[in-house]
Parts: sequence; structure tokens; C-alpha cells
Amino acid sequence: MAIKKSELYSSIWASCDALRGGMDASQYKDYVLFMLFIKYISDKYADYDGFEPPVVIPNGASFKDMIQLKGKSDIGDKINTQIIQPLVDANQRLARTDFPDFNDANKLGEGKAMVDRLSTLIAIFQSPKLDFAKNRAEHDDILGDAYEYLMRHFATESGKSKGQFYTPSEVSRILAQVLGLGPHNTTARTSAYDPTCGSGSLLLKVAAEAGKHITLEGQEKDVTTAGLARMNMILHDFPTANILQGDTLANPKFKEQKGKDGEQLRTYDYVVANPPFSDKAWSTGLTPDNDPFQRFSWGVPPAKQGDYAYLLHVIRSLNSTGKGAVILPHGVLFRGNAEAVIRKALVRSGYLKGVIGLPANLFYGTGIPACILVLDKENAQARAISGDKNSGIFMIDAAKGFIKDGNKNRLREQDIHRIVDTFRKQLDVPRYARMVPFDEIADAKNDFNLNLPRYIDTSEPEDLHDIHAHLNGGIPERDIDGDPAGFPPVPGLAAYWQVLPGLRRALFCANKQPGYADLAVDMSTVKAAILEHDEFARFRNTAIALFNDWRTRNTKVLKAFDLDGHPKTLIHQIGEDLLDSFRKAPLLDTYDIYQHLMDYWADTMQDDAYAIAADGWIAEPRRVLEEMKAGKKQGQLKDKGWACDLIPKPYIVARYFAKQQAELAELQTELDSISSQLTELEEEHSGEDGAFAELDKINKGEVAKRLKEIKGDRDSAEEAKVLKQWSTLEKQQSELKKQIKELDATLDQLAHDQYPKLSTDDIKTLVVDDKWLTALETAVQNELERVSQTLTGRVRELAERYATPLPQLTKRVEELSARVDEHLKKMGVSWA
Amino acid sequence: MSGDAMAVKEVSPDYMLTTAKPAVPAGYKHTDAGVIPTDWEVKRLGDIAGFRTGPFGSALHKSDYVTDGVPVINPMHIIDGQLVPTTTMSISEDAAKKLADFRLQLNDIVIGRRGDMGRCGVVRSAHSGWLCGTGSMIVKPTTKAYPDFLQRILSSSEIISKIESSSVGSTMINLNQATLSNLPVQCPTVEEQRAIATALSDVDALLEELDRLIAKKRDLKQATMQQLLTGQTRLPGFEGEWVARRLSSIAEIRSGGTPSTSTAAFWNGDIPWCTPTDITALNGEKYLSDTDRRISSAGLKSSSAEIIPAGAIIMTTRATIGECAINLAPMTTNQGFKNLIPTSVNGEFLYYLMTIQKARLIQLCAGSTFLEIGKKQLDGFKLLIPNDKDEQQAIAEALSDIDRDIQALDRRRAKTRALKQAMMQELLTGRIRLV
Repeated sequence: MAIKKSELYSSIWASCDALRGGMDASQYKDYVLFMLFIKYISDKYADYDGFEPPVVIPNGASFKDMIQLKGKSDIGDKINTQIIQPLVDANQRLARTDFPDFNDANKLGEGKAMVDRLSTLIAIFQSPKLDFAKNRAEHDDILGDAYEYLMRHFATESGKSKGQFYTPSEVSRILAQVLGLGPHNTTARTSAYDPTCGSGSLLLKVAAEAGKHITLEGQEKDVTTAGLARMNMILHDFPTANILQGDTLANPKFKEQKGKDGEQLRTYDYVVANPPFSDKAWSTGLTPDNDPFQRFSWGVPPAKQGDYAYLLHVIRSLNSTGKGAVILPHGVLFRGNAEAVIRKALVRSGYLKGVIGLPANLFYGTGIPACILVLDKENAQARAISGDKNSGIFMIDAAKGFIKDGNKNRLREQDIHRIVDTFRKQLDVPRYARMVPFDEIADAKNDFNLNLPRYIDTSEPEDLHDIHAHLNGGIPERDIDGDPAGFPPVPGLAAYWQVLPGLRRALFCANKQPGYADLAVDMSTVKAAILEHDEFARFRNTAIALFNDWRTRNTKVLKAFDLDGHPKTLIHQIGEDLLDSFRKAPLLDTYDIYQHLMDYWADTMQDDAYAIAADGWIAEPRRVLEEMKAGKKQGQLKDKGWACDLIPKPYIVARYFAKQQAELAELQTELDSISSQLTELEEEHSGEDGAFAELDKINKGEVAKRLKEIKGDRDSAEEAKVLKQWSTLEKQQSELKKQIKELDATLDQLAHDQYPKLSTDDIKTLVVDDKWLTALETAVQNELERVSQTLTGRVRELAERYATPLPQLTKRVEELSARVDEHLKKMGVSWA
Repeated sequence: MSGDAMAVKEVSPDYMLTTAKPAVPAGYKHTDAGVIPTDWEVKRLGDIAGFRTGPFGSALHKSDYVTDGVPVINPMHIIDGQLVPTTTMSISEDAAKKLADFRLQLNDIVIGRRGDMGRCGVVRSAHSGWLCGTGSMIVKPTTKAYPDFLQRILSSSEIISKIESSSVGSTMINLNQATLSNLPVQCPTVEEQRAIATALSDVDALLEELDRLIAKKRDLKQATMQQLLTGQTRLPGFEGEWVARRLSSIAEIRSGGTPSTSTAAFWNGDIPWCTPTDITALNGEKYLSDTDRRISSAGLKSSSAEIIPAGAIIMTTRATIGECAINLAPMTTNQGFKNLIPTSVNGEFLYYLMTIQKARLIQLCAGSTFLEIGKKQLDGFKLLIPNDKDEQQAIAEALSDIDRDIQALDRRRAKTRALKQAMMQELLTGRIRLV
């Protein structure tokens, strides 16, 4: 049984969290992450037989040896001296400071408390559930991801001050992807650098984009975090990445000799960074006016705001064709004084290729909205030519694309993809993105202020009311057909009529006033009129045909996936194909469709794909055993039936036992009907003098007893009749229940026994056609439904808004008012 | 337990009646259904109506639900005596056919049997064929009862308290047929029932029409603002280009503050102190005359709160952005406001102009945990306004007249509601007779 990704993560998290006690999450994480690290390297490199393992595990210092220490009174000391120390001694890249002190009574407790805590911790990682040795999906790097998952959770937990070491992976991915590197333009010599690398996740995302082992270098101020980064590199199979500790601004570690200039900052092909936001202490330990690395020649950033200091460091670290991406708070776009001067120089230099505004509240520990500055030294001159329309900075305001996740916001798959696509293709998207000409930025009106709302208006167009129509009736054609030239421009429903021109004519007819229209169908039949219209059917067919084409192409791809396959490559391939397929679809947003696939992947398909990659196309039912939580048998395992994750029972039943299923459903309907008759009978006669009044409880025994009592009693004939009716129904009910139970058990057995009979092709059909693709087809159908729903909603809204003109309403109020007065007079009231 | 001392004598059931019984006027009698005219009868609901409990939850399957199908009426869909279905709570025609017994017929009364008691409505011809939901029951009046009259009785507070005292169900009251059947109902002749119900229906229709009229007038106000405040439509006699002005050049912008809440002496003085709740409580009304909380002059001195003279625009600028009011008395505000004291602009005009700037104001916002407009951004906020102060005033007056008109209608509606209440109390008890 392969490890289910989602289960692996959450089980580690849950067990560790339970053990934490009073310790601060930010300290406890070091212990947990170390355990994960040692487990991983033990599994992967302990029996390494190749030449020069990336990590050397000395004899006696593996996870197996740790298990031996469980329960020993000096366990903490032994871990320090017998496991960690030999590891550090044998591996030049690891330092003692990377690891937490396992003999620290302040954190882990005294004596027995410490022994218990550490022993349980080891036991968690020893659990067969977490047996990584069998995990073959190396390419997908389950462990590296688990490591990130834990860091993310710890970041969430740690709160404000300590959350800064972690950049959400969605944001890291955008950074890596807008740099424009890939397997085609990278080699092992390609270099990437992160001057404030934290745990190194940003660098790893860049490496993942490159798709090969490029050279990674990073510097991190915090000792423990630098240690984390080193372990993270090893876990992600980049044991040669170079992570150094120190303050990047005051004491940069990556330098090289540059002829007569002496020692200068080393320069790289790619630089990424998520520096601390508005660092107040950035200038500690350096003299900005006389910087040996000439970083501040455009100006010295304000003492209390370090954002530009880091940005300038990044720019200095790029080689002559280097590309960079830096996450900074929005303030860098508009703040004045010294920063305005630097910003002006930056724009003039042409190094700034783009600005991407992100939603607020994405980062741990702060709610402020951030943006990504994309830098590119290549072709810099072309970006800052006055008078050239093609010269400028590409801006995206993506502040509105996110989903709420707890108390944070998170970017969805579609948001990431939309940002990256738009940026790479430099698309002009109203209310979202455009290329802003250099002259517009340099204009006196803007004066190099880059605040995104100045250039991209993201506000929704206002819904305009029409006075004439409110007084005379009729729906303004402006609202139906749109008025792009109006002030303000009105989009109307023009996009729909482009695809469904005949529907426009079917839904509306001319009003006697020019410029206004009336609804040609009844308000309640708008939806039906849309759904039944030929053009809508055609639109629907177009969309479904697109899906079917995609399905045909990708069924093959999905069925060809097999043992040792790469799930991430698979989802990338079919996802991109889906996105491309639906770009052609009218009225549908291809990113919405894509999101359905990605959601389904995260929920279900991903686990299936990992299972297939690990075990092949094998579907076997397994017993579900659950530990008894209470009672005499507490701790024992209870059999709760069987389950199969890859092909759950309903799919087997639907394909092979539809007849039995239908029978069962029929019986169930019958049972429901009988049950409701019974309840109705009970309700009807449960009053004070009803037929059931004499019974303590309405059940089989009581009713039988009562029937015996009143047998032959003429006064109780009515009661007896009801009770007999009840008995008959009750009998039918229990008979049905029995039948259902039997049939259900038979069906359960049939389904269970079907699994061994399944051929590989059967399994593929069940998983790919019945399960995966059917779920996606439903999602596409829902999107189509949404199109008709949105259109119906707006048409109805407009029709209702102008249905009754004001004079009619006023008249009606007067009429009714007079009638009420009449009633009041009849009631004998008089008034002056 | 023994001993007579401990035993409590059972209170005579007549006790309440004998002590609290008011004098019954001539021509009236005391009944289970209250004091009613002697020629009215009291009947059990079961004698004048039949019942059917809604279908079992299990009778409806997830797959039966469709959008825009046959509406299912559950208690949540009965609002003020009206059946108001939702598009999502509806089932396919096929599924509805299988539940034929539970479909509504003209003049049935649907009554909620769970949760709030007294939610009931009469089935009109347009509702015929809809489905009684699991949480509802159908009451079918016989010829002895006029449906609309019965509906009024069933939603009256007297009946609701009777139902509540006799119903089963602990967390949620659950109404059953037996309870309903036993309810005492006052019964004039069907003719009189009809007359009473018609009078009340007419008031309801008037109320509904007033609602629509008010909604229409609000839409019109919005349309008028969109025209007049943007200069797209000019009032007669005015011309000349409008000009863009920085907000700080036409009004003085003052913020607010909060005195230390731990110093009691700063609080409950005589200076009104406005918080965003005061503004939201206005529900869009223009004038703010008083505030919920007050500070003392010591509190004023100790904090950054400032006195805002009457006639300024009080505007929220933190979390809730751009809600405005005009203060009728001098007051202070907390720091969630930026207040505009008109210097060279008509105050009422500026008020109306600011109310349509919400979207633009939100664009100005920065702030970490919540949105907030900074003083600097607001200073430079540009507004397009007519140079001519008379034009500003003319626009403000036009909009104020619309507001006054809407307000008058609002009051009329409130008055009509009260009138309906009075009519119900008189007519349903027969204290005033329509025959």
C-alpha cells in the first residue's frame, strides 16, 4: 500500500502537534523536521552503494540506531552524541548549529518526561504508515513536499514575528515561472541565488522550473533557518546547494574577485528574493554612503525602510543578462522621498520588466498586500525609450484572484496560471493587466509613481439606472446590448449576443420608445427560453465537443500512466491541454474549467495517481480496521467492512450490478412509503383520545398486548381497527427491512468478489472513464449551467427593475389607499 | 416523602379564570379562543379543516433536486404569509408526480411544522402543484372556513403561544396533526370571515405596493444621482465645464481619536463621540443628530479626537469605507473616520457627491489588517464639481427633495403597518364587526 500524500502529511502533523506540550511551535518544529530529515536520509542513503553518496551516514547514526535509544534514560544525550555529531563530522555541509539540542530539559522536559517525549516522537516516525523505503515516486519528492507542508503549518502556528521565514509555495511558483527559465535554456552551470533564502523553498522552486540540477546559492541571516535550508536542499535532492549564514546586506558571503574592482558581489543568471518587509534595521553594520559593493549608487534607502536596500542588492547580483523577481510590499511602488528617487532611476534603467500586484493577506505573519517586481537586465534599454509605444513596464493587478483559507487568503491554481500566462504573453486584459508605456509613467501626472490603481482600474462597472425607463417602462437597450462608447462605458450583455444573436431577438422585442425594449417572453420562462433556444444548444454542443476532444486525447494519456509514472508530469500535461482546449470556448472562462480539474486532482485524482505510480493498476479491497475508542474492547481493532480507494464500491456496483442496485432502490422506496404511512398513522391517532393514547410506547409488543386486551370489546372497535392497521404496516416494514439488509449484504459480497476478476483494462476503464472523466464532465456541465443561470439572472433583474413604471405604482397605491379607507369607514372610524 | 405539610394542593383549574377574568361586555362571551361575540362559534381546527404532514425526508433524494423545477415549500419559504420559493429548493416534475399527495392545491394553507411557529400562507392559483416540503404541513379548510381568514388566525400570536405550549420537540418545536386538530378557532359565518379577510388583504396589498413604490423611488434616486452628480445632465440655467478639485482644497479634513478607555473620567461626558456603528445604524439616512457614546472634555483633551462643527460630513475610512452622514450637532469621532468640513463647497452637495465615491475610495485604501484610507491619499482625492455654488446648491436641493419624498413614503408605510396591526386586533376578535 503506497503512502497517500494527504494522509502522510496530516498524520505527521497531527501526531507531532499532540506531543508538543507547552513548547512554542517555532522551536518544536526543529525537532520534528530533524526527525523527518534523519528518517529520509536513512531510507535513501544508508545502504547507498553508488559512488560518493551526497550524504554520508556513518555507522550507528541512522534512524534504525535511534530506535534502539527509545526508552533509555540518556536518550537525549545519546541522540546528540551518537547520531547528530557523527553526521556533522562526516558531512562537511552540515554544521552542529543546524540541529536542535535533544538534551535540552527546558524544552523537552526533565528525566522521564524527556525520555517519554523523545521515545514517542521516534515511534511516530517508526510507524509502518510512514515507511518511506517503499516510496518509489522519487521524482515527485513526497518527502520534500511533506517537509514543506510541515513548515507551512508551523509558519501558520508561529504567528507574527516568526512567520517570515516562509513564502507560500503558490507565490514562490509565480516568481519562478515569470523568470522564464526552463529545461531548454538552462544547463548545470546556470546559477540561481536568493540573498534572503529562509528555508530555501524559493530557490527550490526555481530549480524545479529549470528541471535539472542547476547551481543554487543562498544566504540566510538566522542560524537555525539556514540549517533548515540545508536540510531542505538535501531532502529535495539538491545536496550540493550552497547555503551560507550571515547578514546579506552587511556581510554578503557570495563574492568574487573582479580585476581592479577588487572583491565584488558574485553575479548570477537568476536571482529571487522575499526579503523581510520594510526592515527597520537593514543598515546595521554597513555604511551605505561608502558601500564597497556600490549597491546604493542610485540613492540610499530611508533608514527605517529596507525594501529598496534588498532590491538594490538583488540588482547588483544580476549578471549582464540576469533576470530577477523580488517580493516587496506595495509601498515600494508609491512611497516618496529617497525611495521616489531610486524608483525613478530604476524605471529609467529599464531593468524593471514588470510589476505584479498580489492579493492582501497571503503571507504568514502579515496582512499587507505585496507585489512582485520582475527584473531583467537583458533588453533593458528597450524598456525606457521616451516616445516609443512598445517601451514600458508590464503591469498586472491580480489583487482580486484568491480564495479564503482560514484567516488567510490563498492563490488558486487558476490564479497562478492566469498571472503567469498573462505575464509571459504580455496580454492586454481589461481591469487586469496591460503594458504601460514608459511615457505614461514618466508623465508629470504620474512622475514615476508605480501604484497599480493609477494604471489599471479594477473596479466593476457601475450598474446604471435609467430615469426614462423608470417613468415610462421598457428595458434600456444600453443594458441589453452594452454601450462601449458611453460615459461610463456599459458592457451590457453584448458578449452573450455575439455567440447567441438569435436569442437576443427571441428574448426581447421593441418597445414603442426607441432605445428601449420589452421582454418578449414571460418573466418565469426566461430560463426555459434560453435553454430551449437552438443557439444555446449549439453553444452547449460546442463546449461539450471541446471536452470530448480533450477526453479522447487524454483518455489514452491517462490509461498509459503506469508504475513509476510521474504524477506531477501527468497533471501538468492534461491540465495544459485542457486550458488550451477551452481557450476557444465562447462564454466560458478556461481558467474556471482548469480550476475544476485542479480541485479534483487535489481532492481525489492525485492520491489515485500516486497509488498507481507505486503499485500499478491494482484495485484490491482492504479491510477497514478501526481502533475501539472506549468500552471493554478499548484498543482492540474492530472490522468496519472493506473499502477500495482507487475504485470505491459504487463504481463497481454501477458497472456490474446495476440490476441488483435497481432492485435495492425499489425496495428502499417501498420502505420509505410504508414508514411514512406508519408515522402518519401514529400522528393522526396520537392525540389525547386517539387510538394510541392507552399505550406507553408505540411498539410491536405494546400494540399486540393492547389488541389482546380489547379483543371483542365493541366500544374499542375503532381503536382495534387502527391498531391492526398499524400492525400490518409494521410487519411489512420489518419484512422490507430484512429483505433490504439481505440484498445489501449480497450486493456487498458480489462487489467485493468482483475485484479479483477485474483485468487491468477493466480497472483502467473504471478509474479513468467511470471515475475521473465522469467527475470532470459533471464539472463542465455545471459551468454551462452557470452561463445560462447568469444570463437568466441578469435578464430577470432588468425586466423586474423596469416592469412597472412609477406613475402606475403611484396610481395603484392611491387606489389601494382608497380601498383601505373604505374598510376603515366600514369599521366606524371617521377622520377629518 | 410523607406529611401533609409537604403536599401542595392542586390549584383549581378555574383559578386563573376566576381571578383574572375581566368583565365581559354585553353581547360577548368568554371562550377558549378568547372573548368573542356571542353569535360567533368556537370550533376545533380539526372540525373545519383536514391535514396532511409533508413527505418524509427520505422520500426526496438528492438526485430529485433541480434548479427551476417544482418549488418545494419549507418553513423558510413562507414569509409574511406569502409563499416565496427559491430556485435551488425545487425538484423535477417526475419526482413531484411520485409525491402527488403532497402537492399544493388552490386555497390550501401551508404551515411550517418546525422551528418558528405560525408561519403559514394560502396557496394561490399560481402556486398550485408546488410541493409541501418535509418541514411543512398542509391544512385543507372545509367549506366552513374561509382560507384567508383561517390563515390570519393561524399566524396570530394567540395561536402561536397555544401551539408552543402544547407542541412536542425539545431543541426545535415540532408541530403535529393532533396539536393542530385541537386548536380552538373562532368562527363567524363564512360571509363575515370573507369580509374580514378581504379588509386585511387590501391593507397587505397596499403595504406591498408601498414597498414597490419606495424601491422604485430609491432606484430613481440612484439614477438621478448618476446623472446630476457627474454633470451628465445639467439643471436648467447652468453651464460651464466642471472642474477637478482636490478634496483638501474644498474641505478641511479632520480625523478622530479614542480617549483611554481605562480612564473613566474621559467617558460619559457631554460631547457626542461617533463610531462606525452610529453611521451604519442610520441605514442610509442623511442626518446624524446624536451618538451612542459620549466623552468628557478631559477625554477630548487627552486624545486626538477633535470637535467637528455641525454640518460637516462624517465619513468612515477604516474597514467600512465611505459611509457618510451630515452631523446636526457638534461632535467628535473615533479614528475610523475622516471628517470633511466644507470650506468652499456646498455641504449637502459634497455629502451627495461623497456617497457615490465608495468604489473610488476603496481604490485609495492601504492598510494591513483592514482597509484604511490615509490622510494623504484623501487630501489628493480629486472630485469633479461645478464651479458655480448655485449649481451645487440646486443639485443638492433636487436630491434632498427626493430624499424627503422617500422619507415621507417610509413613514406612510410604517403608519400603514401600525394600522394593519390595529385592524387585526379589532377584526379578528370581533370587537369591531364588519356586518
